Amino acid sequence: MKRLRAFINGADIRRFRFWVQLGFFVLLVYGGYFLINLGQSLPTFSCGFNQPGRAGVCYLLPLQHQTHIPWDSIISWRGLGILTGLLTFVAWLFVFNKAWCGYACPLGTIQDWMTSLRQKLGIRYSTYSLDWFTRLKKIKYILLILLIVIPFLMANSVAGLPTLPEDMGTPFCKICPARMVIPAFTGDFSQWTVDFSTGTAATMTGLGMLVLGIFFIGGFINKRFFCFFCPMSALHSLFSKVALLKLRKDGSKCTRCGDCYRACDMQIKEIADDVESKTLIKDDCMMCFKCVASCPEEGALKASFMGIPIYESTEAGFFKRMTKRRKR
Amino acid sequence: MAEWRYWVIGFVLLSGGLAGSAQAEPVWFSDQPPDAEWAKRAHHAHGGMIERGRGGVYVKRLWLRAGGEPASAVYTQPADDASFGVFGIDGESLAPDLFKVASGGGITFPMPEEGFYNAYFIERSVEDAVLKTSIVKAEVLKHSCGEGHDPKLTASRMPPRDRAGVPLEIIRERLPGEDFHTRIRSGDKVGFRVHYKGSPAAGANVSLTTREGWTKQVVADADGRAVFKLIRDYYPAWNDFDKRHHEAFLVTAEYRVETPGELNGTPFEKAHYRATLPGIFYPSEVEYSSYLVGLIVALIAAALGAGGVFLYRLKHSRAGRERLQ
Repeated sequence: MKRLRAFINGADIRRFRFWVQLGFFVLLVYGGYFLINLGQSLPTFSCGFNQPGRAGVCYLLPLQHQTHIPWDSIISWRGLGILTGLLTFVAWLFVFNKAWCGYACPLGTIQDWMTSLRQKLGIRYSTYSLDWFTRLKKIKYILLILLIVIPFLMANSVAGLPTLPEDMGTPFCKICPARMVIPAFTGDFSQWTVDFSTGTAATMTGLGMLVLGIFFIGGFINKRFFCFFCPMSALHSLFSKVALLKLRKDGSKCTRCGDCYRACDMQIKEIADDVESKTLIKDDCMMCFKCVASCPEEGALKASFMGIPIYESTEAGFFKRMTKRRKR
Repeated sequence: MAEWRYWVIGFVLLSGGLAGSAQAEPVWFSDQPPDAEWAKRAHHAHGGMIERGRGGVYVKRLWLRAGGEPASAVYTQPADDASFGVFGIDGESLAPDLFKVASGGGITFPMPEEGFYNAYFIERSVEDAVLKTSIVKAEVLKHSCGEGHDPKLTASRMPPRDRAGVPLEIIRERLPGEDFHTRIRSGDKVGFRVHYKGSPAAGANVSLTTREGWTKQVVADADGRAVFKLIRDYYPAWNDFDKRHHEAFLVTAEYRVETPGELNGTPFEKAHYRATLPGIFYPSEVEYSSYLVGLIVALIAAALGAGGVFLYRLKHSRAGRERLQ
């Protein structure tokens, strides 16, 4: 058992993650061709526009459909539909927590591949200043609120104002780069258009193509660029505290060397600074566990499932990984 | 073979009694309400207009209309002795209700399950020793995204069905890769098969008429197939364009056989069958969407982003600052 633990703790998390991400990418982008269907409440970007390749549907798409609901229908079978969808989403999240972002999300995987390409080309990456980081991280919550409120305002008039136009339907999907990028991996470029049928449709789809252009540049020079703005990440964070998979920290063993912060693709400063909290799952965390791999302190950081440590920082593991990297 | 099936299903379809006379104008089903009062009850859904029944079950109301052109066809009422039937997902016979109101009439039926329902309305009469049979059919989709998108379920419920016992039937073939969300659009080629008592009706005259009255006629081939390319039939002012606009078409098949017989004691020497099947199609995406503009927008955004990053790095690097001075 000890040898098994030492083997796991000394593992190359980057390589492990690469293969898991590849597996999820194939499953979620091409699984539909093998009639795999994981439902429509997945807590990751298994894009609903990727037909027939998708093996399930990102929860944000049905959520936007479901919140397009008149007031008087909330207490009805339609309201029950919203509740069922949310409970299914939480059930998926309950198991893997935010590791859906770090290990399963196809759009996140594509951004990691863009980062690898940038590294190979020898171009240095960009980071946000702490000030900008604090400001930008609020955007995902704003997007989450808008993607619920806009469909609701399409079905309901508030204070006598006219309802929003139907072409604002699934507003987040209209600007989400996954709608364009993920179907492209199955040869479907039909979403790469601007829809001129109405002013609203032209604005929304034009905005979507604008975001796509920014996504390619941002994802190339900034690690996990889009994840800072992702409303799925915001929705995760509302329920992540109750999930079974956790990132734990023993502050008494932390020397605040900052290695974990430097390894973090999401620039989460608390991972190095916070020596008080037992559980460290910040809203931007994608549970990639690169912080655990980069920590040289015995048991300072650990990933645990149902309270059982599954991967923890060890001095031996740290030096093993460093030696391997130097050889490469 | 299996001639008995025609009797069994014929009994179900004709249980209301045989109708008085087949109408001179083609009669067909429409789910569009005749007036604003009825429109208030209807909701848009995948597959057309629906009403909601008890417990949220979709209820379809099909109105009978008479006239060869969808735009000008009038709402009509079914005869008291009309025969009608609806067949569900597994081909099971459902019990539709016949309704008659001041503005028209037709049938209603609940659609509890996902998939296609086939509704029929048959009228027969003998005129000048000719049996005239009008077979009105509608193929109605029930789909709600709230019930999920199981590809296995969808695939199992996509194949079109015909109905033994219906003398002449038009069956719409599915588009490649069609599912519950697929929209037929102008420019698409749509195939129909015409079956006479379950076998291909080779030589049947098949016509497709759009809402504005554009008509094309073809003769069904040896397999009973007729294929039409849907033309554009929607020319609004540019600022009134609606990509969700329902363009209507009506397919009519006519078939004659020299088979003597009798109907309710009235003999006839030949039979003339006329089947109708309505459908809707949408404007083609190429009419309102542009790849070119999309790519230009994305490229401009990418170029501005890349330029901005380059300038920012130049400004914030020592060498860059020196170069800029």
